[in-house]
Amino acid sequence: MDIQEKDQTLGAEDLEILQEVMNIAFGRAAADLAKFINIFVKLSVPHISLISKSEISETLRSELEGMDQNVSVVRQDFWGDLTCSAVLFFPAHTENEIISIMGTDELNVEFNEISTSLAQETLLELGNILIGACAGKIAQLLETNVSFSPPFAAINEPMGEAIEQMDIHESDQILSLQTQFSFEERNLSGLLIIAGQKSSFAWIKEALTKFMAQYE
Amino acid sequence: MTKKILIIDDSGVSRRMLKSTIGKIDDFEIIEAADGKAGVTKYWECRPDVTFMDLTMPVMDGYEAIKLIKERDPAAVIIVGTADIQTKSIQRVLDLGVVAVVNKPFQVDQVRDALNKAALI
Repeated sequence: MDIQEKDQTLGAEDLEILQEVMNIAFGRAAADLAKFINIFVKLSVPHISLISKSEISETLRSELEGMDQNVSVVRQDFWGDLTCSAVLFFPAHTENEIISIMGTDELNVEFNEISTSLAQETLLELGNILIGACAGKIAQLLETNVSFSPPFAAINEPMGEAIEQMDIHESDQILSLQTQFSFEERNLSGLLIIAGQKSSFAWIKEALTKFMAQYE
Repeated sequence: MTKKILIIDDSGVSRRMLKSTIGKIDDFEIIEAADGKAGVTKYWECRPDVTFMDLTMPVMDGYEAIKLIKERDPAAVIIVGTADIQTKSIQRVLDLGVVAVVNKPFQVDQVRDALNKAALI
């Protein structure tokens, strides 16, 4: 049977298994980041849901305090058997805290001041670690390989615009894997959303069945 | 007499994975709880030989649950099973007196080693 003809419906059990896969993957990503910045990363229980693109902004506002009209984001798409758009969201005007956490404020000398370029560079670095490790671990657990697009970062841009840029069709149901995280003794929380395209659902279903088979 | 293992984890899938892994090692009576608070209650009800504890859970997290159990029963044998593999998390639970930390996804060898450390097998 061609994969296009296979069941493209993700049921409650599929979502529950994906939640555990995301939990493991984000644990890996947080450990990589914590090692890099030497700050403990507090994790939340991941949340998995099937939503439409138009519901993402509502999700952001309900999940993360301070999410208003503008956000700072780093986005990276990856594709293969699993095609997703991953976006790391932070409330607007948190760039100084992000720069401080990442330790790139030492580069102020080079940049003269906390400039947009420095904030963008820092966000790209943060996104590279978190999205790369998270997507890489998901791919490893589901026994596939993914290719990454170059990451893109934007500071204080309208939330609607940031969501619009995600590589998702307006009408499609998407798989949203969300994890909220914060940094110990720092006033910063972020939200990682990995939006899976419907074209990947049949493959995801098969991969999850295979993943759980080792535990039967 | 069959030894008792209490699994405290909010994820039903994770509990299933751990039960299957433990089942490949030996026969145990498995008891489950879906968050730290329910887990602490279950602990006093069934007095398990070993408790597997997740860390990131709603209602009450694993750190708090370990503290509550250890305060009243310092001899409690607790193994942490977690996806949070940050050095600080691992050190924190070892300081609370857990016997071993097992990373998710569960692997038979790792779980067997942890049960060995717990002197259960």
